[in-house]
Amino acid sequence: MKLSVGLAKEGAEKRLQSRGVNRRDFMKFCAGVAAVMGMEASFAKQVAAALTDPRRPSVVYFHLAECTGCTMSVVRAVNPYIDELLFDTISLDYQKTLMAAAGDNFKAALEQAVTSPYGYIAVVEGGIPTKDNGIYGMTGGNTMLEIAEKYLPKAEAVIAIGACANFGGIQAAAPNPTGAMGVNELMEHLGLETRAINVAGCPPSPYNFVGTVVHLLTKGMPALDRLHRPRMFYSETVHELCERLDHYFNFEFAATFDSEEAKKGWCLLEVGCKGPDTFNNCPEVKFNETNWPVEAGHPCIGCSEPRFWDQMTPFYKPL
Amino acid sequence: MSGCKPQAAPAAVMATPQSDFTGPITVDPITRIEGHLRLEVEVDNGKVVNARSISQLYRGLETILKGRDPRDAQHFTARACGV
Repeated sequence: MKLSVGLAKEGAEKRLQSRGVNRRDFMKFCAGVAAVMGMEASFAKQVAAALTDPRRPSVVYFHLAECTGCTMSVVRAVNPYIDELLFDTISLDYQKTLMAAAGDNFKAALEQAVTSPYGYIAVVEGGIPTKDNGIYGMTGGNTMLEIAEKYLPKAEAVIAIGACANFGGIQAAAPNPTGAMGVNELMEHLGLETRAINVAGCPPSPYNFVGTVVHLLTKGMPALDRLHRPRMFYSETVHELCERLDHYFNFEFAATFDSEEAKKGWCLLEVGCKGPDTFNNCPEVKFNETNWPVEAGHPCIGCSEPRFWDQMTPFYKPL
Repeated sequence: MSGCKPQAAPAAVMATPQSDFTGPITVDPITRIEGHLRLEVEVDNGKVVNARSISQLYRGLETILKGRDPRDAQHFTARACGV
């Protein structure tokens, strides 16, 4: 992946062309983002305008108690230019997995970004350990608790990417040894008014993240559901969108993974599918535009729902 | 190695510059990795006398896995590292 942070000298289209992305491909991508956002095809033009705008909002990306899977989901998008485009549009000033600087230089980059007069958008990946004053998660000499408390309330907008930042994630599963919390739970706990947009999933689809950023740049805050997830991506259940739904209506269920019925692609409800309780758009968007769990033969584990590590387990027990 | 002619060694091999630095070197965080790593190196008169790498995140996945359906473990352990 090529990063060109702070090098917006040429027009965005020229930069794309130099990477072998022509106007037609670019507009196709924008139409894809518009479709995922539930907009009409004509909105593609606005997506294109937002992504090629010379204005470059500063984005700081915090890694807290996480596995970097969400970063991978975003940067491993199949179209090689999704990430380049995104990181070319925004000025990604602080991202631990992608930045060359380490140690003190890295911390200086953060200070520079958060004191920018144009403000910044904070993206949070990972939960925040709060037990014993947050001692279970440290980075750069500060606890993650201190970092979240210091930098998130000052941001123009906060996007929580992935189940850990949304609802605490895997480390918050019972018995939650480190007292981990999601961003919104922590802000409530600290009595702060900041609330994050939850791009849910473990990991979320990169399209949902790109779509959220585009919405923030074009139309401001997206409409959110009661769990602070953007409605445009999380208003329907995986079950309703599933390509195996007809088998469900015909009472065609696979009883085991090695059965003939499973090979025929019948409904996976009886082997533990959590699709009916899970709001996400995986069947429509697919990961890497290639596949998604149910199409690959594995039931949905309900990863975009709060506390799914406790609520949805055992994963192979039917609902 | 056919086609490779032996070459004379360079006349003078440059000696590694000797540092007389004394003190600790700390790099925290290490970037371009998954996780939160801190490195501490103690240097005495240009020589490394001690080095420590410190993993700075504890999530307790082992504790969380206790008592669960063994088939669920694959999903938990997959989240140890997403890279």
